[in-house]
Amino acid sequence: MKRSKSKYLQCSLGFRPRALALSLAMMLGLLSGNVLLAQEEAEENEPLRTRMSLSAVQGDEDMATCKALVRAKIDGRYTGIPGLEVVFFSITDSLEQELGRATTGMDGIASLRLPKAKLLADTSGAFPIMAIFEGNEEFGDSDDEITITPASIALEAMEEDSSRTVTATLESMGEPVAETDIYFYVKGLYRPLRVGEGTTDEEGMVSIDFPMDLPGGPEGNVEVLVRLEDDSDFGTVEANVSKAWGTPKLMAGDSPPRELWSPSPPLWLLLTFITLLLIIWGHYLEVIYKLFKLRKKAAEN
Amino acid sequence: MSESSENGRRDFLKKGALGVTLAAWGQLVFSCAPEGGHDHAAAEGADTVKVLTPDGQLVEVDQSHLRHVHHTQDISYEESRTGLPGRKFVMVIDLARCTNARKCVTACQKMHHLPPDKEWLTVKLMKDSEDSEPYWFPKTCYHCDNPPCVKVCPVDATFKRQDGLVLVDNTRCIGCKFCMTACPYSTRVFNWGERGEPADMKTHRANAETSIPGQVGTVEKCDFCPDMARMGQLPDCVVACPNGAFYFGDQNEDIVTNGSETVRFTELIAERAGYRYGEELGTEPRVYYLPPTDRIFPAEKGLEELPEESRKLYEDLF
Amino acid sequence: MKTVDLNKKQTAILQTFGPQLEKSGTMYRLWVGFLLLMILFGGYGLFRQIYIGHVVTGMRDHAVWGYYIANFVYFIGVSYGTAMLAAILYYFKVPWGRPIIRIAALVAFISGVIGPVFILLCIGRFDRLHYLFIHARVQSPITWDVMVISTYLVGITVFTYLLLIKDFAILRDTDKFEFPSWRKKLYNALALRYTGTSEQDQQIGHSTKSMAFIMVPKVVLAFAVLSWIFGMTLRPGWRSSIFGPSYVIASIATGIALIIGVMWVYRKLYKLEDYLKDEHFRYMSLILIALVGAFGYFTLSEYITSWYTSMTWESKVTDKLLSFKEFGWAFHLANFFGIILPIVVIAFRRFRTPTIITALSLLVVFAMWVRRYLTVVPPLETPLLPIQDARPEYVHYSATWVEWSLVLAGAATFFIFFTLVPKLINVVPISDYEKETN
Repeated sequence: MKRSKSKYLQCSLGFRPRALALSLAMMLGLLSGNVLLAQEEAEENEPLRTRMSLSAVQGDEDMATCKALVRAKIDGRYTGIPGLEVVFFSITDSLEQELGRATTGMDGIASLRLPKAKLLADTSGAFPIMAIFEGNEEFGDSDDEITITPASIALEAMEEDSSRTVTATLESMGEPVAETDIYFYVKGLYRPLRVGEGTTDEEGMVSIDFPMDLPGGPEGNVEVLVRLEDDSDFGTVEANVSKAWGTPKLMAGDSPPRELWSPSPPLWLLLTFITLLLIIWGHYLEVIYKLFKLRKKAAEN
Repeated sequence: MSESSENGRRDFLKKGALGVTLAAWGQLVFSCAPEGGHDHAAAEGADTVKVLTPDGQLVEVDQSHLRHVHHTQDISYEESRTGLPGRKFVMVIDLARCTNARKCVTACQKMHHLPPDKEWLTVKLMKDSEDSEPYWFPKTCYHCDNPPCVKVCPVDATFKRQDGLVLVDNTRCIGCKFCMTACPYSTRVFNWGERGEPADMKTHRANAETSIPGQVGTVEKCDFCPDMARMGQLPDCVVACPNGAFYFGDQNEDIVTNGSETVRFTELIAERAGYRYGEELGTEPRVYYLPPTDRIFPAEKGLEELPEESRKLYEDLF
Repeated sequence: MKTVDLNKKQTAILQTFGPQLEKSGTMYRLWVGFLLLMILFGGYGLFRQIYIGHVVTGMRDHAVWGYYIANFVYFIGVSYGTAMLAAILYYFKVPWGRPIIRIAALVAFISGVIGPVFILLCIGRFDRLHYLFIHARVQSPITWDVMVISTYLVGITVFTYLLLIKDFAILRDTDKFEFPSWRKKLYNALALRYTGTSEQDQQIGHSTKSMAFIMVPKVVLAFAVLSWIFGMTLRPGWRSSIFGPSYVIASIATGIALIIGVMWVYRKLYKLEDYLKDEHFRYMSLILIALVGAFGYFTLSEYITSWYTSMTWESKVTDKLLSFKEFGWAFHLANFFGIILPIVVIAFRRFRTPTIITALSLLVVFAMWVRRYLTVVPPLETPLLPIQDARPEYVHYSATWVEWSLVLAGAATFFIFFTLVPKLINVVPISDYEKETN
């Protein structure tokens, strides 16, 4: 301790001349530095340019979710910006209608879930959507637009003769969609696990053999998620169904075992511990009691 | 060896002195530079970056104050002791992908407000025998199912939850360090002095799930970020790894993910011959390793990121 | 009121002790002052440690225990060892043991008080000490130790007190000295109205004997529990079945060596040659070499097995102890001066003089401390996974002045206790000589 302290002292003394030289050098550079600084400050006042990417997910029950990711380049990396208000519009040639507003979350995504019926369709039946971030003091404005064709996946999960089949049917405006890649997932705590994929046939159908041994979530439910991902026409289309195909892990009244590592000790250990203490302390008390008696008796005499 | 580390220390002091001078000038020139009470903070005083606050405000801060906050949902004491119902967390570390990029270490330090010299997660260079190739070995807490550290705790400060995690309640810990001697993997670290967290962290209510704020005189360690799990978010090391070396998930649902790849835990372990470190010790770790076969980079590459004095420590392993 | 009668022999002893019971010289006051200064310095070190944190000590991650735990293990071991010796000598009425029992019990008492203080020093949060009771986990060896040590401390206090009652009564009743009134009151209270009736003698004798009887299993238990603090971990060098027995033997040997030292000083200072005779030193020295011999055997047995089988992790620790680049000098010198030299010298009858025996005992006292240190620190510096840390203090433990100040304060406490005790009570029991003929 003492040694290292003196070493520190030596060092800081030893390097003081160098620090002084450095300070001088900085003083000389101060003038030119000021100019640079002024420029930098001016730049800082300008709002940061942002980028938006809009996507849409068509889910169950004729609902759609519009997702607008707003990013800005911070320290050389595009980072999602939280806390920005994004306005979503439905825009056709003739009409323009505000769908709603949403604020971006920690990941920079603002999402708005609404019934598809609320979306305005253009002449071909597709939904043109636009999202706008109007900008504020710090972040510049940005917008993005997409057009999605309505589509939906019907999902059927069956179990028979110790085999499980999941069948997905993709259709758009009443017509089956063929030759499209569909992915099958099981929802997990963090990310979904892909369990199969396939291409739709003439009838828009694709089925996979579902694994028999997936244990599912805590309640024993396997949540099957089927997706058409980022399609140029349809955006993302998904459907999910929950099946009690797993094994439940939640046992009612689960109390921790009596182990060395658990809060409650093994019984034999507790008993031994208490017995030993009782024997010894009992003995002490007897001796101390006798001493008191000795004193009392002497007093009586 | 000791001489070289002394040189390292001197170098550090040199840099420190330089930094302090810089910072002093920085304060003159940039009137906005923050007051640096800490040497480290002062050393980096001139270095500011733009960051986002959780409510989306862009602010310019001193780099040394650049800390992401672990947001804890307000959970009860009982919940923090029993864990996430029905879960059993497990980690798989792919040694073939570890190049000692040390992003996991710095992310962990950043997210848990640890000073630069305190590592809950370390990356070691291992060499199993004379002729075998060295490889990088990230070491988290193994959250053992038969944890020797929990066994010896006299006050129930470190405990094993039903979701498999071994955590430390730093409001309970008396700092006897018995758990540190009991852990054969040297996972636990002690707050020998103040942690030097940003002042606003001190107001946080201490919680066994985050060990924030750190308490002087208590033990702490890698906690597998259970507060993140409650929000469905992966631990910081998993997200930070540029090579996807860390897989994390719930063993009960048999799914692990490194963020981009999601696989079945049993299949991954079976296909890649996963193993647990120190199996013979009977601790039953919850962390599995995939052997460093077909590595993406030679181990030497991992030295590039290291400062000179640390690099010397590994030289005789090559 | 009836008083305790003394025979000639007893009166003679009382008069031997009279001078220092009555007054203190300048040298004495200087010595006590010096010891108090050392304790104060330790107190300052402790204040720094509490105020700033354990960062002021040399302990760091990996070597999380150091001087404190070595000292704790050392003192508490000495306490157990001497308590066991006192109990056995008393219980079996060993004829030559009479003048030694009291010194042994006093050594046991003060070491038993000093030892636990050192484990407290190693605890990071003093403010949470009560958690050891309110949140106690029965599975933890520390809980066992807390219970056993506190139980033991009560036991050794009661036992030591029982040994002193009769002499307190003698000092209360004597009219040979001029004691200040507080001293008289103190003796009066401590003597428990003992007047020397045969019924009282029987009572005290019975209680002391039963305390002595239970002391033996209790001390064995206490030894076991303490050694399990180390033995219940997965560390090589700690987790060995011989750790406990080896520790028991080493501690009793250290205790005997300390008793010999105390005996020698008292004998010199107070001219007690009639009571602490040469033969006492001889008997004690023979027990001492028997014990260090056994300790040598256990040491050999422990390290030769791990050296021969050479399991990786285990032999890393053994190699550090044997290598002269690491702990080799400390280990080999401690074994030479603590085990081999005492055995060789005492084996010759003509060397068995009190002074030589005492000198050897002092060597044993130091050597055993070094061995305690070597059981605590090298295993901590040898983890399973390599320590790849640029900071030298994380690789090798070295104590700071704070630890030194507290270690010295511990030693000073030991000395000050034995300096003050002869002020209060005669260190050789007078009451034991009541059967002597007039």
